[in-house]
Amino acid sequence: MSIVIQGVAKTFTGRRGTAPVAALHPVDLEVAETELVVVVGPSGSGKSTLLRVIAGLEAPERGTVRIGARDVTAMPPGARDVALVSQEPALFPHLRIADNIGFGERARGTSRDEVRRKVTDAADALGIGAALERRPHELSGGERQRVALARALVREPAAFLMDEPLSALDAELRLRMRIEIKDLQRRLGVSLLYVTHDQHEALALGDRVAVLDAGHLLQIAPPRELYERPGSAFVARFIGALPMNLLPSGDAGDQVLGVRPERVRTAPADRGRVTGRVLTVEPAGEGCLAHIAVPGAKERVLARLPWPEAPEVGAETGLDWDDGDVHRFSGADGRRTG
Amino acid sequence: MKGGLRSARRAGTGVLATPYLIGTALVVGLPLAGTAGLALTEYHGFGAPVFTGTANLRRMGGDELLWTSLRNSVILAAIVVPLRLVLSAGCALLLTPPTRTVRAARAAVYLPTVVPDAAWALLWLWLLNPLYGPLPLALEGLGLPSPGWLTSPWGARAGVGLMVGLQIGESFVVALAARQLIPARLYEAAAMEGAAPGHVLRRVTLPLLSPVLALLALRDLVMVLQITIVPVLLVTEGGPYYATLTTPLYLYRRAFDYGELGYASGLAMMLIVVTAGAVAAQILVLRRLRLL
Repeated sequence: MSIVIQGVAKTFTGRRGTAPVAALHPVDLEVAETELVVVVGPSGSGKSTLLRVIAGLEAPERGTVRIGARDVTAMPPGARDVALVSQEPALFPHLRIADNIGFGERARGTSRDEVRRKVTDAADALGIGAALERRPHELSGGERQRVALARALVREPAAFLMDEPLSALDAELRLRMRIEIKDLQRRLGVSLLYVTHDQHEALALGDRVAVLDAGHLLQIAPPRELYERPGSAFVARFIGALPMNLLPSGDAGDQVLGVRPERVRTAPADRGRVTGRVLTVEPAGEGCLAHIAVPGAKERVLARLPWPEAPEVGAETGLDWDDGDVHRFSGADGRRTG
Repeated sequence: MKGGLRSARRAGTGVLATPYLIGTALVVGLPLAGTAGLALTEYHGFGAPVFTGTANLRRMGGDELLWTSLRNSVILAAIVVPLRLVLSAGCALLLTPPTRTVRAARAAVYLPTVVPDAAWALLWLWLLNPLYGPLPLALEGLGLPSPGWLTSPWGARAGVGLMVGLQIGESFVVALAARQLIPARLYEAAAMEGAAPGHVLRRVTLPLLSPVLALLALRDLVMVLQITIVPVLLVTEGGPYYATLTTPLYLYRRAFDYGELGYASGLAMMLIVVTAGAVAAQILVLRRLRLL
């Protein structure tokens, strides 16, 4: 079922003497039925708070949360029919894996035999069927996260919420489970709201990706569009393997011109669009990454170059790119202008 | 390298433990050895102890009052240990969310433990007084029968049980700390699954607290068997009809009222053995229940 949140705002009241912290400015977001939406943002952007509000673990100050046709804003977590998988799988250390997976079913009064059947099915689907008699501390991090997924699966919820479920795992396992999670979501045809700080993961997983910064939802779009037409300078620098280069432009310097490091070429020093001095050249697999100091630019300009084009460190070089690769942002608020 | 580090650490542990080992030897080991020696003698504090071998042990076998006192101690333990456990765990669970009211209530639960034992005993003499004590009056006001708090055997045992059972400050703090070590995300997971409070208590909280509660039960058992003396000495004087004569009180009387220091030493050694036996039995049961 769909997840629809409208105008959800949340402020954490500080302890005595400290100012309250706005975690979410009014946020609107919709996850359609069978859709996988990823919320991505730096730490402290409010993405976990957003998830916890939907789960019912935090109460929003304003706004409504709907799951399918039901307004669940005032409902306790257990009545919302959503499953939450978090970074640290919340397993009960004293219970066998089978009892961990079946915890909710037992709590809801499902019969023992029925629970056993469901638990076995869910465990087999996630490849942990052999671990049912063991206890959480006997399992690896990846297996524990699978147990948490199995527990979410067993209840056949209306929607899934996942809060950085893979960030405690090593890189290889993360990659494998990312694919499994997407497969699972496709197979079940259920809506999934997935939170991560990793833009790679966001682009790889999401049907649509929402970028959150300091409690503001900046842009929500399919991954390709987010990369190709970022709605603001922040999104342009946050999304993509390398942050987009931003250069001041316009007569009064009131505009920002952006170009991705992958689109920058070198040119003779007198013929580029800009000229700068090469600071370092990092080897990066099939090519290299040149750091270039361009007068007037706040950050060093990055250029992803094939080895034959690699410039000399210390040399002056021109930089060039195609007109079609240029993004323009307002110098005042960073919004896209063209 | 690693082995070197480990043995260095072991050596460090030894150095740190030395003062405590010396202290234990001086204040526990020596008196214990002395008591064990005196247990084999007749000794009244004047002159030299006279070695009598197992005479004290044979005397214990026929000592009616000793058996009465052991029975009383066991009854008291059966009242006090569960009462303290339920009260300390219950208060800890109720007083977990740290609001201002809860903080005040936590202090209130701890307070009886800070009151000196003698003052606590005097307070209960007044509370339980059959003529003007608030507790009998309150029960009477509610139309409930009074168990004859200090005047009937079981009433006196109940009174002493309450006195000892309510001084739960340390147990409460330990249980509260154990409860706070349970990660909040487990409760959130339970909430997400819609588990009812009773289910969470039975399936999550109590199992996770049980190792600590088991240890508290062990400690309370030792305490009740070994040191319940001030309340029965000051409030009930062991009465009525020896109903609250605990073994520690009987031992105290033999030693200091009758001056039979040799026989009292024998009683003390016997009490240590009985306590160790009770604790061992409890450990076996807890192991069997997989709580320890």
